[in-house]
Amino acid sequence: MTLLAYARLALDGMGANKLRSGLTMLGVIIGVAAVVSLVSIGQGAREEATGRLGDMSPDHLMVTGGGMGPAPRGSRPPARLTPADTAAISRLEGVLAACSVADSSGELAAGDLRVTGTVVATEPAAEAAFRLSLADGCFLAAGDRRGIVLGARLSVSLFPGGSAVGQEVLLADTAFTVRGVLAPQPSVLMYNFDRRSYISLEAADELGLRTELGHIAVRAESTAKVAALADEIESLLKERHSGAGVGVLHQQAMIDAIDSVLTILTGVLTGIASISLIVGGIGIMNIMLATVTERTHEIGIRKAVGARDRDVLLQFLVEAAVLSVVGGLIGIAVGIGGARLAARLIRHLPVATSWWGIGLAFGFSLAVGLFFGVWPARRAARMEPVAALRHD
Amino acid sequence: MPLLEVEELTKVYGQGRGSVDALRGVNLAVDAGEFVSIIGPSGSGKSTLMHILGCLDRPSSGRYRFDGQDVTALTGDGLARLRNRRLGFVFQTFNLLSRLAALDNVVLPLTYAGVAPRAARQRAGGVLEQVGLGDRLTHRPGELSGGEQQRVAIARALVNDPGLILADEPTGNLDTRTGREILDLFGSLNRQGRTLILVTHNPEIAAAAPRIIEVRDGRVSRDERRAGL
Ligand SMILES: Nc1ncnc2c1ncn2[C@@H]1O[C@H](COP(=O)(O)OP(=O)(O)O)[C@@H](O)[C@H]1O
Ligand SMILES: [Mg+2]
Repeated sequence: MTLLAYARLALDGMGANKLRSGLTMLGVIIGVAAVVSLVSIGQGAREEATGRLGDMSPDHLMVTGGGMGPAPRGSRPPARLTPADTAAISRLEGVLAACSVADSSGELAAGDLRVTGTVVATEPAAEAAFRLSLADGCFLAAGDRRGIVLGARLSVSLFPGGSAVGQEVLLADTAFTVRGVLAPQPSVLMYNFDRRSYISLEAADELGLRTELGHIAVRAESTAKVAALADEIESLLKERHSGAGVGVLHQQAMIDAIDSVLTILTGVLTGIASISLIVGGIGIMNIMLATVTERTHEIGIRKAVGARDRDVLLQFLVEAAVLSVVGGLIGIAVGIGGARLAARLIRHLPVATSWWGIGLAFGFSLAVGLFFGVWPARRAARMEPVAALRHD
Repeated sequence: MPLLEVEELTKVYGQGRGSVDALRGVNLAVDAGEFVSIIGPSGSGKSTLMHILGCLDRPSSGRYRFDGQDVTALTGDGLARLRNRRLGFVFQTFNLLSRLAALDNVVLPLTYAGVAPRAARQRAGGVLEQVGLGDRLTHRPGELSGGEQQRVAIARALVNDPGLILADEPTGNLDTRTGREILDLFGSLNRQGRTLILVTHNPEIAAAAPRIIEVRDGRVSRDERRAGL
């Protein structure tokens, strides 16, 4: 007999008890649907995260005194970065620009318009380090204590009428003159650069806004040098701060970190969903045992006309496999549909169809059907013809 | 050489105190082309003997040779092959698969013999025609009378062209007239050269065969051939 013939037999057997077959499949459907939708969402999150980071310059490095990024090994205290560190980094081979960055939140006022945004205290090198492009005016010059540069949205909010350059804004009751306005920038992850304003470190010191440097932003001359440069900066700062904790982040490292977190998360969720598949498999075993008992007489007849143990085994094994595979296919459709629906209902939930996830779920459901089908099928196959015929 | 030959065949059901000696040493030989009736009271061991001859069950001891082959030495697959190709069994209760049409019931042994579906259907249709059911191919057993169901079962037993047909009380569930028709069918099969063994507890039916073997208490108590039938 061919496998196709067994499959036809199996479908026939299932058709004889549609409701029961359907209910049995439900367990597998739910399990597979859960796996497929979770993997799809996990895959979507990964593509989204790495895609967005892709917007970030791959030649950009972020140096912190620890705390952010890769956790400093052991329990070394974080290094307190200073503008002198920034200067030292600037002098390294392969560095295009480096600037100190200290973020704080502040309210800007122009006339009776007020806007809250991030105030970035930095150095003139920020223009090159962040690859800022100006829509109007110029960036901060060295030692500019009363100059400010506005992000695109800030400028529109504060000076809806016209050009902001040359106008006055109040920050912490101190008047600043707008030196320049930045061109709009795409937001990266949750950062909206257009709501930022830039002042000098000296100005921030005077206003008491700056307690310590947040990080040092570095731009490498080429992407190829980023990884090596990261190591170099790390050892330079370790030397300068006698081994204190230092973190150097760059795009690839972040992608790797996010990727590994999402992989673990997806794996754990998929593992939990897989448990429901196993429960579905137990359902299949249960129903196959009932089927075998119920069809003992049929088994007797088949054996009486010449079915070998193997024929009977395959008949019931294929039936279990068909139950789980049909359930698996429906589950895949439901899972993809469910993930798409979730993506519509929950804004920003990224969803991507993961073919390996689907393949995995399908293969797993087939394996579950075969695994949980073997025992009932063997029971059927080992029946003695007369004993089976006597049963009804 | 006889087609089948059993020596000192015994069958014990169960173990210990509750065990039943269904066969207590049966000796028997049947030649190819014979038509044999086995008769005996209920519980004498007729069905037990038929099941062993039909390779549906194994004896507790003794020897069984079919067509020169030692059946007791065969594996499960070997017995299945014998049941499939060399033996046809007809039961009192027909034992058809109720979900399958008459044609598909007859196709069943061919499927296990590895015959391609198209050829199998053709052959099964031909045999059903032969037993007078050419117009009932797509009927399910539930849609057929008892006599028709038994004809389907006979067609199924015949379809692989076996050397021996075994029938255990094939008319037991049929009225007298229908039983007579089935018996006539067996008679004509025998005239075509088939070897038949028919079990019955009814002497009238047994008389249809030229050779009658009587079983009592698990032993052959009489074995007579009548000439001129
Ligand atoms: N599966 C079985 N288990 C126990 N005893 C059985 C079984 N089958 C038959 N017997 C016993 O064996 C004896 C012969 O039975 P059987 O061969 O069916 O007789 P017959 O067909 O002549 O009526 C009877 O006593 C019956 O009760
Ligand atoms: Mg009987």
